[in-house]
Amino acid sequence: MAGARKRAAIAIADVDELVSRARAKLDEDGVIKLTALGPKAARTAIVEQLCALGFEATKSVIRRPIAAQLADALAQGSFVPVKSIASFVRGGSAADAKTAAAKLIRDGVAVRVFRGSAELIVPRSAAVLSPDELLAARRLVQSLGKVLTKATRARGATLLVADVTEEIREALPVVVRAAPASAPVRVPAGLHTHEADALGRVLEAVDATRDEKMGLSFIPQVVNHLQPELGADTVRRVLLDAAGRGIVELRPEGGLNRLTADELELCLPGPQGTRLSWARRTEGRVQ
Amino acid sequence: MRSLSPEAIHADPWAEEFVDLPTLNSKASDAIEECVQKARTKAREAPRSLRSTSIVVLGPPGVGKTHLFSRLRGRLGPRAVFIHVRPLVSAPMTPRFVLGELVKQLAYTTHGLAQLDALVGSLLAHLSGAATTFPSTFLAEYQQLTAAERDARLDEAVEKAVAIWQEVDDTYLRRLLQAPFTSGATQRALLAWLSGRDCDVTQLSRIGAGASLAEELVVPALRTLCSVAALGAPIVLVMDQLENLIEGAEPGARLLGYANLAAELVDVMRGLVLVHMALDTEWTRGIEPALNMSQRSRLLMRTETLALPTPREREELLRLWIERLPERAGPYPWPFTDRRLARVLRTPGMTPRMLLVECRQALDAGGADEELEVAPEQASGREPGAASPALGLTGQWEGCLDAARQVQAEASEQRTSVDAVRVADGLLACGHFLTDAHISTSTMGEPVQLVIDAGKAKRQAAVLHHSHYKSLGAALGKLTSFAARAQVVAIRERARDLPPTWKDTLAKRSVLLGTGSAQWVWLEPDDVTRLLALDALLQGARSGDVTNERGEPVDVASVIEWARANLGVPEWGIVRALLGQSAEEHEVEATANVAPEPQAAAPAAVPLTTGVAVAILRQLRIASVERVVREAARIDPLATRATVLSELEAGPGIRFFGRSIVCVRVQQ
Repeated sequence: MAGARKRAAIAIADVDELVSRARAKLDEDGVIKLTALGPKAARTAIVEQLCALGFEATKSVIRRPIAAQLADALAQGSFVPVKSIASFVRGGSAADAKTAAAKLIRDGVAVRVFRGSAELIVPRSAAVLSPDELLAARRLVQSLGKVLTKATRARGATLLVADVTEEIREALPVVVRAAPASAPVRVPAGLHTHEADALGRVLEAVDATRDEKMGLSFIPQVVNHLQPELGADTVRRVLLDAAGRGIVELRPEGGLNRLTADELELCLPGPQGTRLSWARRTEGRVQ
Repeated sequence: MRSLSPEAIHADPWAEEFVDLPTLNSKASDAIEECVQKARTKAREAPRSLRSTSIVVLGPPGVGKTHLFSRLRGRLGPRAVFIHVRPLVSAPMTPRFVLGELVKQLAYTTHGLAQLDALVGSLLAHLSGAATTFPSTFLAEYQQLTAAERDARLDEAVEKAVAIWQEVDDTYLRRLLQAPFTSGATQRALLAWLSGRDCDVTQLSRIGAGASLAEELVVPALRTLCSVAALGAPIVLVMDQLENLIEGAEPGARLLGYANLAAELVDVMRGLVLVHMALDTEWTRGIEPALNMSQRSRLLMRTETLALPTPREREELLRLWIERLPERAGPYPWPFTDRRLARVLRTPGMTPRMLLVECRQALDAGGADEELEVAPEQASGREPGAASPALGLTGQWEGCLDAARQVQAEASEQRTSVDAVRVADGLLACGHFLTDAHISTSTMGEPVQLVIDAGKAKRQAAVLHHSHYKSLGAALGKLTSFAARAQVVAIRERARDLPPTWKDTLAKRSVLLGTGSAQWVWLEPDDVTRLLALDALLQGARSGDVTNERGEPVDVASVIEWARANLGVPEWGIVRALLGQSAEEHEVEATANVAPEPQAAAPAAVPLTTGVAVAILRQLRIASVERVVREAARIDPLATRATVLSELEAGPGIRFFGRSIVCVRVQQ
């Protein structure tokens, strides 16, 4: 009798404190074992309060909702491979995580994508192809495949880079659209119209060919991007001019003989025997 | 003038004085500093949720990646612990290697304060509730306590740390906290144990340890170190020159090993700031494509591409350098003429290193307006880093030799051998210069590191650096079992000769040599110097850090060509010995049956004595034979145990007590 009264006393006096302690642990770790909640007598009350606060209870643990954990990971920019999805959540199995991921996809929070053979869940904000773009890409590959087969079978024949590029751009404008947001092309005053036009197009090409992570554009790619409308010499001259005006930073090649003869030809000669193979928009930097 | 000397063309990560333009690439240094601050704050406010961060820093050669390390070291001082690591070539990088480098560099100083003192001082200060700003002052307070009081306080600190993170290894932490309050041999022993190196019997007994750090304790030790450091001075681990991990076109074991290690460090450690530095092109084309999704998500938390100096920054840099010249023949822009300066400021693609080279060339020209080089758009189109007609890499080679000697001196000071993996890297580098033989990494397993394929038969080579007789004995046992199915070569530093008291180990060595398939090669100090220097030269070449006398970058192929013509690598004693073309001056033992008696393994001919050993003994009066051998080897690289013993035995007034102690009677 005295024991029962004591248990009741513990439950009433400590539940609030135990709940707040459990919440702190849940905020930090995302999961807490039922056995770590507190005295057995108080557990039911604690679990009820935590569930009322939106936490999930299983047979052995209380956890932050799996969907919320995944949504957090996605919000931080993580691409979640389905194969290892369980490692992104605490207190849940892979099956739980997959169910939560399916819900997030249904709710439009996440998107399912393939990268090579791997299946991933990515945030809605990630640049992905729309259904129409997927179809267009498929059609492009088929039509381009035919031309490529024809060209490779005919000895000595090849394709114009410009034609291939143009076909890709027409079928998949997303390739251009996917280029990261860049500084607006502001052409310096005092240039002739044709010079301003060339500079504007080169800067657009620098943006379109930029490697998103490094923020650099490979100069041979910039040159190829603009051919045949602008010749290689013109592009290189415009790049040098842009570098002189502080609009573009030209950078020396740091690779270990990675440039092919063609790429070397398209790069600009740099100081002390180097080759300038990378370009970066520098507008906004103090000159 | 150090600031414009040839060696100054390449940043020294541990330089105390260097010219810095804080605005240049401040974004990258701010990013790393921010990570350090976040780690410290998180460690104090929410220690359970403390995680590691990883940043990739990219740029072309000479843009200032290594300089960034020096800048941060200078800026953060004792508020962070900085570790600079070059990748391994001969073996995958392991947590043990990282731990070894980490503890080794704890002894390095910043602003006159050892990093070990900064780490322990700020940790103790934080755990005592004091400010961590002046760790040395806090340590000084501890120094004044009696040993018993201090031990009690240290125990208390360990308990507090364990209360914060239950995974902290209290034995490891206790020894770490003790280290700053010890000195001499005890501190060396503690650091050797903490670094995961193989400790000898004396070191273990000195610190009261039963054995060196076991393999399963290495990761917990690293985790302990990173976690507790984050409370005061978080650890910034900089992996530099990562382009050296690339082997050919395909991603090799080295690169994958590195990626796995880095991912593990990010996952398992708390509060570690991991910085990966590499050439931009090599990272995007050779390294990043080889990483899987999981590795990328861990390594590429943030990428910083270093910028080249703008014209204004170039001018500021030039001014800073010129102002440090002791004798100036004219006002700024001397030694540049206006015309030359204008060209330097407007030429696109100038890295800080190129600017420094321009400055040197202008200085060499004595301020005269030499014939200007052709404008970039009219340049000849030479390939990047193509060799100029006269390479002149002698200065660079000498620099590598000096650095290698310094590494040897540090190892000698710590009473240990040079890292076996670095020696193996050097041997692997020798492979570039062999025409009839090929050296590659071995897949046979510990302790074998390399395979030497000299045409007739493949030989498995192992660098045996062990300090403890038991671990060396175990390695010899494994080699003996390998010798049953392959030819093996055991390599050991001469300075780490086997003492006669290691009877069991000597017997095991005799058994190994008795198999008839094994060879024992002594590595002379000069060999070690050259191997380390060659490895550093080739790694530097891959990173675009090797320059000729004019300061111009030289590519790998040209460096190898120069080394082939000037260094005579195939004639090096160690290379000849490994290829079975035993050089006369090189001591190679066995391949034939050898009697198990240890003395039988000694060289047949007793070399001439130099008097060094007797002179040393006269200074010491009484010493162990080991000590005399060690001191003599340091002064005279040709001295061996045999020469020292014969000299002592013949010396006047010298008396032996047993086989280990020797004394000299000094005439009054």
